[in-house]
Amino acid sequence: MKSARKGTGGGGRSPQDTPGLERPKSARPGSSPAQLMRPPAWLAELARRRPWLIQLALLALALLIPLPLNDYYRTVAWRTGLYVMLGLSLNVIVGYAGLFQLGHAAFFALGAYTAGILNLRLGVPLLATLPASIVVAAFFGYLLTRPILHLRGDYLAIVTIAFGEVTRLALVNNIFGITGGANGLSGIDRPRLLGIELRAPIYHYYLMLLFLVVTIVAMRRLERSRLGRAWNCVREDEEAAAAMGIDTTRVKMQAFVIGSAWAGLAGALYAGKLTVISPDLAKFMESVVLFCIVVLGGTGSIPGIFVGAVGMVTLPELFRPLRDWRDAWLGVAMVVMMIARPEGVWPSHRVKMEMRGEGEARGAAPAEGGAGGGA
Amino acid sequence: MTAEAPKALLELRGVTKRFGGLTAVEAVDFVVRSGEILGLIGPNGAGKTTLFNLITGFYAPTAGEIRLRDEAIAFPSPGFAGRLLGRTRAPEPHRIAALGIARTFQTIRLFKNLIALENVMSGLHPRTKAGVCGALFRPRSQRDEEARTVQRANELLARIGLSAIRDDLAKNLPYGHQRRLEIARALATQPTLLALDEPAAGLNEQETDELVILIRGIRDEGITILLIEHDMRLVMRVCERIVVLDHGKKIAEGTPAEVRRDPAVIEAYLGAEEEAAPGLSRRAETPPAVPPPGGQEVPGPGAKEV
Amino acid sequence: MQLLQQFVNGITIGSFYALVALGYTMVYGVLKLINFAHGDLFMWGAYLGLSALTLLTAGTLAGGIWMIVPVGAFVFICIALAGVLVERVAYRPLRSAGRLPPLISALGAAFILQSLARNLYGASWRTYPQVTGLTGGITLAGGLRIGFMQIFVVAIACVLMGALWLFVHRTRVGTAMRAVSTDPVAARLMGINVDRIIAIVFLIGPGLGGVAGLIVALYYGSFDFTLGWTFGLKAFIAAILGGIGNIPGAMLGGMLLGVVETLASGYVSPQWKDVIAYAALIVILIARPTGLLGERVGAKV
Repeated sequence: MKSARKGTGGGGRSPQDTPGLERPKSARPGSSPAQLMRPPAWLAELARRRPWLIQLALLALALLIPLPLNDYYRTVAWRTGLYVMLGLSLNVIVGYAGLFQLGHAAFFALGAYTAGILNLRLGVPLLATLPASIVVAAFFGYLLTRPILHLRGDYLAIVTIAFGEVTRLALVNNIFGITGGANGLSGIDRPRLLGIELRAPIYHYYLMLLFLVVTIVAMRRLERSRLGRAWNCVREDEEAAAAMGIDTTRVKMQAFVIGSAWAGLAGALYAGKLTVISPDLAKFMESVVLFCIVVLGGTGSIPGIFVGAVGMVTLPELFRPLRDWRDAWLGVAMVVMMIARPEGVWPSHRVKMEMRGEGEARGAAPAEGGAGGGA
Repeated sequence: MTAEAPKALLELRGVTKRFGGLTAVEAVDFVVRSGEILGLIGPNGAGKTTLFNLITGFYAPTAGEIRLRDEAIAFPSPGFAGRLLGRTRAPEPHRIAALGIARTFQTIRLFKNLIALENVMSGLHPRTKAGVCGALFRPRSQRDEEARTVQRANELLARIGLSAIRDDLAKNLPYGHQRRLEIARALATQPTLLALDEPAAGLNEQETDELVILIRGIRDEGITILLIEHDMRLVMRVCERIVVLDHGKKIAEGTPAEVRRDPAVIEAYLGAEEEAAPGLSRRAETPPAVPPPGGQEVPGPGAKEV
Repeated sequence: MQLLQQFVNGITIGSFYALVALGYTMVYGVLKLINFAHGDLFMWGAYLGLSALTLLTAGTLAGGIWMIVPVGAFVFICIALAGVLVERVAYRPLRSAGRLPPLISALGAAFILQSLARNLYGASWRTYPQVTGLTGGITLAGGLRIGFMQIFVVAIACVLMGALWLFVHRTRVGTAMRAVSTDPVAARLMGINVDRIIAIVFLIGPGLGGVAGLIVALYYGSFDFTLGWTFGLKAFIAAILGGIGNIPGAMLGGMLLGVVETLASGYVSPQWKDVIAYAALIVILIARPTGLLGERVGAKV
């Protein structure tokens, strides 16, 4: 089972994240019904004082987890990691920039197909296809967003759904004759590292873990950068952000392209493990699952994504009977969460404030970090 | 002392803005001179904030032009055909901020869920340049830039006198502090022209006095100030020249003394709601002293020593 | 002649889209919400119709087309009630929650409905009983063939749309609906019970959608639980095309989409007709978000 490597505690931004600042004066426990979900105080304190300790512990856990498991569960762990990575990529678009993207799976599929096509038709080794997958996904992300960024939320959602469907249908219809039609492509090579073909699930797991760690580091860096600040401002008040010199269109587009590119990377990794890909990768349902991982797990926060991935992917894998009714349970979860806790299970500190603090000012310091007061 | 001709920083020529059938602003001409504090007054609905939106790029004028130094920053949008012919649109708000015009808003528009420091840091966006690569790879140049950003933001907060609340969420700040924070944020963009939209609204007397000091201090640092205000005392104290709008048209322009005596101005205010310009109508009874531009103020009743 | 034939087919499909699009557009009009669950309510209409018809007959419809009327009424009522239920449970608590929560809740409701149908009715395709009296058709000069089924379903669709139009424009409730669409706050101030109007919208919109499901299933003969998804998105495109929130727009959009799609299927390729529809949606939203008759959907300063 995966856990956060970094991004403990509040996960998202907190004043501590801004370089040069000291910690906020106090982190008063809040009075929200979320008390049940908060870790014990000593853990939160430890997370705040020595975040690296927690991070190291989690990394160790992640490294050791697959060892006692059999191949089936190792694959489950790998899948969880994959979905965490996808969730993180979507989080850039939905959580950081605040855009509605309900067609994210299309970019995942584009990355997978790029890797598959390059590998099958041109014999490119799988690991070498990764940059191409990233570029292709980024390119389509760019193409899609340019004309649609001005659309209001619901309409942006619709357009992204439509784009997802167009992608899927284009793949099914064997566009340009290279995508293999409804059955997709098979026989893709596995990745070769130092001459060794990575066949067993455990190798794929560690490969995924490596990329996941890189992804998390990258996400944290983005959060705390000038670009990350710009995203926060655009989410808060787009016009005021523009008045302060932030090119809102460009900033949103950057989020979209980054998120799409990252999904493409995940797609290539997927192709290397399963060696078979099909247009079903771009199904709307997949996009919705990803969207739910981000929003229900906790918008904007890295730990939240882990929660979401576990909930959406790991649990149904582990509890087979859930399968048939998976959609229904997902639907119920969606409705219930939106009514009860729209910010998600483990949202970033900031998003939680945005959603909960409407019109009501809390005490002087940020009232409650997502658990742990932020790390 | 020397009579050097003040340079025009911002020039409005024949600016007109229509929204469907409603003419918000009509054929407005005036100039904002470099280094001055210019007041923009008028009864409610006169078109003042619309002008601000035109100047800062949120609206495009229906007709007319606005020039910053010598560059046209606002002009009517070329239609579809115009764009086909290669004509470009006027710059967008973020571009205008980069060119040196910063503003505050009539209703405070801080980033409510960010802390004060982060609000000010956001203003530094146009003066810094780290992008995606800088964020991901953290080269030395990016780290230095980040450190400078934080440092500059801290300095600005200190300048405005808000260091104590640096880590407080903007939405939790008292009203007066929020107003000042918004000014600090605008100053972070290093503007040449600072456009303040009713910065004194809701402030008590002491806060207003502090605001006067602040505004003068900003001007002394070389920033030109354009000010919309309803508080006539403030306007008369701080502005060197005033432009008066009514129903979208400019009806007067001149020094505070001239404007006060202008019959068209008096008519416009007395004709409008009482609450639109309480200062002005009270003033009509007890003419107080008016500070000459840049000179000393003769304290009126209740005013502090400045 | 080929063209005319396609046109006739297009009108048929178009009237289906129009009926379903009305549900989307009416809900959007009063709540400014895209009711993602609508497509699945439409699909449930097809399933309920199947159950009802199967119950009333055993095999072929001995009573002929007259059975359709009571079944249609039954379906209308059931789906209308389902629509109100969905509104109460999934939308009403989120009225003031911004744009994202209702969107997700709507999707969630859609999934619940879809999963219920799949589990209760099975994942395989179901066929409708043959309706005597509706098979066959007339052949006009030049080889133009119009099926009785086509005439029948288009007639029903037109009757329903006409009834709706009368309702919206000639009754007090309909006028209240239009008032709430235009400005809910003012409508409330005028004494209109906005909650009740919204409930009525959720009765009529889904109700019409449910009946549309019945006649679509009759027309095509067989369907499965993905009907709601595929059809729903198309109908939604039709609503956008005509101008979302605009009732005549939905009708017009539906017809137009049906015709264009059929022509594309006939002259370009059947495989790509869906892509063309979706691509058209993207293009419309980019170039003319107003649709043909409706309001702006962009967010401009």
